Amino acid sequence: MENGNIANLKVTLTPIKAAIRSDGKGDLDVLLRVIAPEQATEGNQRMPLSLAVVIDRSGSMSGGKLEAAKACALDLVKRLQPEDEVSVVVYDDAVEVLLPLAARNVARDKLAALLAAVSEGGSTDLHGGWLKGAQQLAPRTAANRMCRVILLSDGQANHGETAADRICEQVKLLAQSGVSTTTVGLGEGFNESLMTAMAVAGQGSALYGDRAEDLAEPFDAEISLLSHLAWRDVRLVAGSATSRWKLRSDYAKNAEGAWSLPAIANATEAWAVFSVPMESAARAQTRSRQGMALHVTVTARDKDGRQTEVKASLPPLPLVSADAWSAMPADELVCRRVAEVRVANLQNRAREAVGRQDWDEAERLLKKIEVLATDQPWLQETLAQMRRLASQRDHVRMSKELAYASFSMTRRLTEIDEGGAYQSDMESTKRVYLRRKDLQGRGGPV
Amino acid sequence: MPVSQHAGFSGSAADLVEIALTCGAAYKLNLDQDKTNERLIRYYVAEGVLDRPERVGRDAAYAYRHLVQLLAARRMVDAGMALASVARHNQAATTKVLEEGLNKPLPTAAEILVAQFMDAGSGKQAQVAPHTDASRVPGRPSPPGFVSPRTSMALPDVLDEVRQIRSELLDRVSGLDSQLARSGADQAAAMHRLQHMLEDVIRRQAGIEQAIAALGQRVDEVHRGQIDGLVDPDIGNQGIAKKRPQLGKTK
Repeated sequence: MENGNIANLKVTLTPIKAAIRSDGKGDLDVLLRVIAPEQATEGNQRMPLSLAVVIDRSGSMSGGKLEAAKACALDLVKRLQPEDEVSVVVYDDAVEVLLPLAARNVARDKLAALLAAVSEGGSTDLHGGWLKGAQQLAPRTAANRMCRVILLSDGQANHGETAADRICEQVKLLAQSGVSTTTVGLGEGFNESLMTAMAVAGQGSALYGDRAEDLAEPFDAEISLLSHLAWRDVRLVAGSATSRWKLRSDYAKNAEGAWSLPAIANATEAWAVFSVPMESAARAQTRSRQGMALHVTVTARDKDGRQTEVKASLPPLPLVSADAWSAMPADELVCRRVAEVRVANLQNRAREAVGRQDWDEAERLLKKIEVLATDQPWLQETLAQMRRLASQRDHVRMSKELAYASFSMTRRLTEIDEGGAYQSDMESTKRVYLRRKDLQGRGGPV
Repeated sequence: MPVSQHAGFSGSAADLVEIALTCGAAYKLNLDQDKTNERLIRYYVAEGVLDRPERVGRDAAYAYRHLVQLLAARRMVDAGMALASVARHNQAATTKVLEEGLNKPLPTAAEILVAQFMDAGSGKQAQVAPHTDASRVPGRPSPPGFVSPRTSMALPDVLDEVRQIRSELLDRVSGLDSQLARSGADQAAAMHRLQHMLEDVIRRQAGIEQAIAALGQRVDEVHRGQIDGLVDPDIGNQGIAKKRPQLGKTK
């Protein structure tokens, strides 16, 4: 495939099969991969971080959850490097900046004592807490740093701004201005659709812990990911002679029409699936002077804030008969990613059904997932866990599992050339942010 | 000279420009009369970068807040910030915040957004709503008198817009004059073009004068309660009738 490859950032476009059906039936799926090859790091040099840890201290955080959150914040500070900065904000119906943005060493000396004085309080001004965290970081966006709010909540936003669409719009605008947002849900009471939507809008991760003891792993995954980042501000612009291309991953789009992809860690890849009706693909190829049905430009900033631009295009594809097309081999990786994206869509629909406790509809959708999961061990494991929750009629946990599995399946970073084989004990040898899990809310194998 | 020395300022657009030019150096601003002039003030008002001035009769009266907004805007624009962002910032921030900001590093785009969202949360959404054409920026004092139910534009605004168009046209004519003086070769052709444009300008100016006269007449009629048939489908007679009592209060 025609590749762009500049300065340790590689972009490829791979069609599911190297041809277009001449009868125009069906869709052409194309996998976009944005690859950051393994880099020998000079010393400990990496992107400097400015983080705001925003901790829910509403009444429902009692019973060990607040203590677990404090431990995670302290652990996070320990793992920072001297040039990193951190702020800690706590919120219930009131928002308090516990630690204004400070260098790592200052935070390390002060934070434990400050956190010790924090106890559970009232209701949940989730938006106010998030915004205070963002305020701490906003001045630092000009300083070539990775600025990220890590928002922890175990409850529903029930104080201050509570409208999900307005919150997400603000989260999106701030992410586009350099302050990204990761959300960490805890327990059974939080609003998983708000928390995953905020992470989508915020260009960050969506993580969740089922019990207080499950909180450590999501925090571990986030800090590990942030410690290995190679590229931030990853933007994707696509061009074609047809407007019928669809991006099947729900990456946020900015006012200029560029999609924001997640920040990419060293030795990982971000990816997305494009689809277009075959007939439009054929027409776009004919109309294009170079015979390309799709071309993309990816821009990203490295640890020093330097912007790089890499282009890639789909090579001209021959038109073949339906029979010839069926006989052609499909690209295995593209097949797997397309299946994951389809499963993610079905999971979202199943979540809505589970929310209504419409178990028949949920089962019908799980059956559809089963078909797509054929020969896909990870998808099968995930499905088995969903079935278990469905058989227990555990709509609260199942809804959360579906929301987070769906997020993970369309937006996760992967190992470069990740294989299809899946065993949970093999996954645990990978870096924590690269692990595929069959249960999103549990820290380890169940 | 620091801007705070002019805290009690009140004056015309020309006065505003004059004082801004003397204050600019204190904030490392390189202002010159070619760019910072009355036209710029009008443009900034139209774009929401400056609040709309108070009206004293037919004249616009600018205050200290406008002076601070102008200096803040020049800094942000020089730093490459989009005018819409500058407008959002200038509308959302208090005069004191703007004044203090002049001595600080420029705010980042993220800081401007945060300030905006915090205002929205404290129930001041109106001040940060995006500025759109033909809509009054909420949060500004509404000028008294006739208000068009369709565009929400008050008569003083309409007259102001018309005056702006006229002054821009006159600027164009004087620009053409100097262009003509420079070109030696194609003078005949340039003469011809200029003739056309002048005619255009004169025609439009006449139209504008007529429009002003007609509007004035209309307002008088409404004022005297002579038009009962003037009904806006969205508001109805009642809406117009409700507006009538305000008309007498025109400053």
